[in-house]
Amino acid sequence: MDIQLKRGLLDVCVLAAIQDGESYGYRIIKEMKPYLEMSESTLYTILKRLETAGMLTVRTAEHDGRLRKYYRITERGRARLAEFREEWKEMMTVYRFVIREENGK
Amino acid sequence: MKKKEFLTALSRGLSRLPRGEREERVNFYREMIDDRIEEGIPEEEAVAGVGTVDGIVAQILADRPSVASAPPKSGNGGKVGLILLLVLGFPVWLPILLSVFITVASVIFSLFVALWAIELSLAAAAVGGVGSFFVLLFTGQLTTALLTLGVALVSGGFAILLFFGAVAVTKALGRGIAWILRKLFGWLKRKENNNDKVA
Repeated sequence: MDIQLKRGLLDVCVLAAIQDGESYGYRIIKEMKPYLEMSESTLYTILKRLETAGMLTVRTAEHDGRLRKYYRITERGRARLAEFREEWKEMMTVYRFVIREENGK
Repeated sequence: MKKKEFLTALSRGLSRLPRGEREERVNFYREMIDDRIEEGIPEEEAVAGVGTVDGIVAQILADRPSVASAPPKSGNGGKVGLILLLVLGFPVWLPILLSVFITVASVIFSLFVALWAIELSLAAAAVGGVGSFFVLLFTGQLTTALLTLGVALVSGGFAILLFFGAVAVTKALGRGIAWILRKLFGWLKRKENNNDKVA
């Protein structure tokens, strides 16, 4: 898959994983697992990128005597998700056209 | 592998990263492992679940090309700086290097020449002394003749001793020069090969 496209998709997946409320690293990985396998270092890179882009905020909180980082989506992050849905509506239209050609043969 | 062991190895593997980032990354993995353990996964299995240290380090460094290709200071950057310094300092260090080399070479050469000069003079003194001895003997100056013979024999003795020393020094010097030339040619040849490879 095209690396830019993949990067964009992964960003959106992580945003989608926290859209219903803040979450933490392991939970994000676990929730995405049925759809997409993501390594910890990939997740780290994406979280950093989204934080820098202002699409999520991070807070560190104590949990069970240790520290855990929680990620919360921002308005800009939600806007990105909405934008993605619109983009993919167009994409799916193109996709249907492409598979129609294949099925016709 | 236990959690502590894993995190120590990871930290060591990421030693090229700035300290702050390294700690943040290690803490990220610590949290991931702790969350797995909290879920009831045994420690060693939880550690294995996040991957191998080597794999993680390779991926992190690959994701950060700036770090992978140009490690801070001590690595390539330092080397480039050193090469730049050598090139820029060329007008300064080359004459110094050459003069040191010439000085050392001429001192060694003079000592070498002096050694053989002494050897030759001793041998000449011995031969000349023996000749004089006969001349003096036939002219009837017995005391002087005997003294001359004695001096000639002593010179001869020293000449023979010094001869072995001088030969040994000459051989050593020859080996030394041959060694330097071999090193120099070997180095040039290697450079040539490297250039071929690059081209």
